[in-house]
Amino acid sequence: MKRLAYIGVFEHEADLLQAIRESRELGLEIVDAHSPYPIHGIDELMGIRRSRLTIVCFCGCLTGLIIGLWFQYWSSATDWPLNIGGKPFDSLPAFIPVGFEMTVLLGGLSTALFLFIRSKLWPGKKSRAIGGVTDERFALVIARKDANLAMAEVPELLHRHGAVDVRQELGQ
Amino acid sequence: MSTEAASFARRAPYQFSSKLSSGLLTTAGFGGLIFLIGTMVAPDRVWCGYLMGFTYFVGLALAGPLFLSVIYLSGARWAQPLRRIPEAMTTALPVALVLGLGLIMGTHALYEWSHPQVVESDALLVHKAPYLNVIGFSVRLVTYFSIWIWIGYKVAARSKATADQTEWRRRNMTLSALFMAMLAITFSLASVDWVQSLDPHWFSTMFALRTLAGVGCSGLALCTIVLVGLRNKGPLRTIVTRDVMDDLGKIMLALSLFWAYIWYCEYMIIWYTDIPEETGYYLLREQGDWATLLPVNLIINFALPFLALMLRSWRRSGVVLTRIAVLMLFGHAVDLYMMIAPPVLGSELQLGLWELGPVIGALALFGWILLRALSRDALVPTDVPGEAAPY
Repeated sequence: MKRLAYIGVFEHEADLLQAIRESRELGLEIVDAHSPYPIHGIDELMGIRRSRLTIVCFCGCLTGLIIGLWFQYWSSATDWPLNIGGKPFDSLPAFIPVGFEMTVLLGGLSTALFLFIRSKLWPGKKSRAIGGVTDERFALVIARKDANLAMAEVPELLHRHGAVDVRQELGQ
Repeated sequence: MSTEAASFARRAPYQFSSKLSSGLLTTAGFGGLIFLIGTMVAPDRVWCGYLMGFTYFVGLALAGPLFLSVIYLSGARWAQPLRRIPEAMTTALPVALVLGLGLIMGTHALYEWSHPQVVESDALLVHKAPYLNVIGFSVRLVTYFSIWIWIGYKVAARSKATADQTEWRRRNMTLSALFMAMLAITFSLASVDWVQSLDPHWFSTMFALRTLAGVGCSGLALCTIVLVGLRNKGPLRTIVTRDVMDDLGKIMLALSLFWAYIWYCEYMIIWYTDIPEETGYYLLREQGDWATLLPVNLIINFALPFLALMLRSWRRSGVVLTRIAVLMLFGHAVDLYMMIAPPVLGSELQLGLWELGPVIGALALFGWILLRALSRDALVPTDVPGEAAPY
């Protein structure tokens, strides 16, 4: 479904934060805020819900750990036992480094993969980046939340908080 | 609460009740009494407890200037309002020196290398004698403490005195860097002198770092307990927010992981290479009842805090965070017990009043010094802005 959205471009961090604060008070829906650097506390100000990626990461890590340890046990103690330095075939201390690496690998890969899936990013996707937000500018994207709210007030609000450019767009 | 009342509360020192004060002092006194009786009845066991108590005490006292240095060097703005606690921990260093002078009396009960007749019949100890001897031990001990007290006190004093934000960081940067560099050298040597030389044939380049990781864990756990406690009592309510507790929990998790990482690195290499001169350390600790304590140490210091601190809601709850911190303080005692007790007590695990008395006494004394220092000055530094949130 296409819906109406406004993009306000700001030159100062403080203006952006003020605009976010007032939009939230008015009950407008903030789709996203763009900044060239991380702004401390902005997630709380925007009222972003906690990321659920950590759950994916935890499951990925656990899978990695289990696969890592199981495969080493299977290969060195069950399938093809080799005597290495007189150690027992099933030696947990020796399995830990690879188990750890597998934990980190699957945890990291699954998190990255789900981040891309969730934010609908894939190789070759056309960039929708707002100009300047990777250099020196800040942008705020506001969308219609429900029919009652007058979206007409949004450009005025953005301008009032020092937006240098306000655009209207039909987004997803 | 009105703004004025709130700002007054922020400037108020900690109210150290006389009941708690005398309670802590009595506990410390009992610890001292048990120690004194023990030196006549069971010297080996009581000196083992004394060394544990001493190492624990020094570690907590050193965590003070260590955390201050980290705060200044990293420019951690979020930790700036919390710095009264490490400042107060620093004030325990002179008492630690006194306890250290007491340790010199116990060298014969604790260290094999302090007996000339034992050294004579042992080629390796003869070789190490230029370093491992009682005079060298005493001179080095005093030197370490001179450096720690001299620089550590200066860092804490400047941190206490600075009243404006632009100045506080600049003035303490060089001093903090100097303290960190000196601590790296002196603490490594001290951990070899006091703990590693209990097994004088054994050596490990990881040992000092493992001990330092334990100091970080226990020091931060204590800071967390004090901060959450003060928050509940009022004065730090606006300072120790849920976000700050979350951060403290995360650092605790990181330090616990670091400790486990260093522990495993040391163990794994010794286990894998299997060289007789290195394996002696763990062979002793894999005998009899010690063998059960070896995994318990890892579970308390690593597995439980690791799993518990992963939960955001637990990190953000003062009650749960305090419980985890207490667990880590207890874990540090178990860790010290595993380091110190086996070579002193032999292959039989022994744990009773003789070992516990001095440790509990030392911790009670540390608590008394810490709380007394906190009751001397405003809990929130004057250079902290009135609004709790910087954004």
